[in-house]
Amino acid sequence: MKVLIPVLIASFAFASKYYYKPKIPDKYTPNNYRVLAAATCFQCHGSFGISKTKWDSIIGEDVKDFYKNRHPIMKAQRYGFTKKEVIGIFDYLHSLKYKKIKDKYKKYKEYEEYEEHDED
Amino acid sequence: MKRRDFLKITAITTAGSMIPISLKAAQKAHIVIIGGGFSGATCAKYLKLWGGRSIDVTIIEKNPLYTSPILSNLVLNNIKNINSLKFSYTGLINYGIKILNTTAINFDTDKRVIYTENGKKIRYDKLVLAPGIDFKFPNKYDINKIPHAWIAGKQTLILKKQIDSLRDGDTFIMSIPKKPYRCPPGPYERACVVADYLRKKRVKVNVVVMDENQDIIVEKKAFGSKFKEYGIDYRPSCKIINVDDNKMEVTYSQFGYMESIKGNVINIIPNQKAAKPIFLAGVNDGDFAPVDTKSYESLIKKDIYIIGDSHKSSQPKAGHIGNGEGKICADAILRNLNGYPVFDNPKTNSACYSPVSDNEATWLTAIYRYDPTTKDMKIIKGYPKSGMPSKKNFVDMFYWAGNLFSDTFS
Repeated sequence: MKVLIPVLIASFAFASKYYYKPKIPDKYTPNNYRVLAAATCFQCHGSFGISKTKWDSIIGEDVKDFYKNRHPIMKAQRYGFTKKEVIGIFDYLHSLKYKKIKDKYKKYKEYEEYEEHDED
Repeated sequence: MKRRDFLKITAITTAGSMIPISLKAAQKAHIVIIGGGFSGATCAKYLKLWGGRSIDVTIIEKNPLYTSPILSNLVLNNIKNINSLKFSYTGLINYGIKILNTTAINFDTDKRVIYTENGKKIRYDKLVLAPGIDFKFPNKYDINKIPHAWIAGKQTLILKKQIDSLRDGDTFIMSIPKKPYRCPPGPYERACVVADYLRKKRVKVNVVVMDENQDIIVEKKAFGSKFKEYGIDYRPSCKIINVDDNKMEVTYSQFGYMESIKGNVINIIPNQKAAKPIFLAGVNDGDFAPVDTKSYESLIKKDIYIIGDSHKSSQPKAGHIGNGEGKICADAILRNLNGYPVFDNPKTNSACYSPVSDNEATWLTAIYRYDPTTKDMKIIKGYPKSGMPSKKNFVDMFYWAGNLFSDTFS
């Protein structure tokens, strides 16, 4: 099956607009999965959701951005994570004491057509 | 003090005196990780980020710098310099992780001791094995003459030099191992990148790809169309029988017939198995190590965890998912050490971009959830999915890899 999907990607013209220095804790605190689930996002969006590339920093995003993003790899994540888990991921990210660095960089939006198909 | 208590204390003290002094001071749990690749490095980093000062984390890794196999096919066509794919462990050291540049040569899993090449005895509470892959060579031959280039670094540069020496009318032979092997799209990607590079250099080389699998195993539409475009001579179901580095000849069997072929450059990517530490620790079942993917704990021995390319599961062997496995394993170890039940519904995702020329790439993605009946990850219905080659994907590939590298090593 071949489908064409219009894709909206919000990316940033320059490096990350966010700063967060992780604190090394004294002990482990159980986290009801939300921290581990969020860490799955860090593979593509950078540790603590702060991107080091032009891909978006999810630390500054919200649940609606997750469902709005139509990149096919993001579509796969929507199949994988429940709404409750997605809310947990963003609750955790927003609980981090990060700094938003005031930037002059322009945020730009790009429309693309992606083609995707099932693997045999 | 009762006599029984006195004996107990004496026993503890005696046992304690056998532990190396450097480790005796702290009563913290010691987690030792064998291998500092994508899964091992990520596991160490997140153990420290989440477990902090309550644990000690040590990585045993022989190389002071890690060379990423991800993007390394782009060294062959001059898009990437090998040095830009090298990562130091400084970032991990800053989190308080100890790096020992040596090799583990033996394990006493009853006494929980690792013996290293430099003569040290290291005690552990939890052992994480992330040693990667090893090869099942069809016969003995010189890998400096016939490189695999499937562990990036020196091997990549040998192959690069050989490809640059190809002239009009020459033959380049590549073999694709039988699955499971590291990075399923990787060999197909390499064939495309090399064929495109030679074509753009205007060198007419016969590119022969011998696949032990019956067909292209991933992204068949994308790779198949590129193979056709580049005129690659793709031969399925070819089992490599013998490699002769003197005659530069490969003997193989296909559909029951034995044949030989000569090449000017030969790149055999042999069939694969887990790296040596898996066998030394005795946690293998056949070529790989079975685990419960809820925690990646071995199904054979307690307190040993296996992540990355050397474990046995339905997930692909690759750096991106290895990073995810490292995090799940780190969380499971910390829960276990702190008396909490291990989280029973973890999810992993596999995502990757594959270059197919010097300006186009494809992507492939899948998502997995834990299945308690098989203790393995189960792919979510409708996946994997993939995309056709595009220039946009080629640019995205570097954004994807850049964040994966930084999440792993910095």
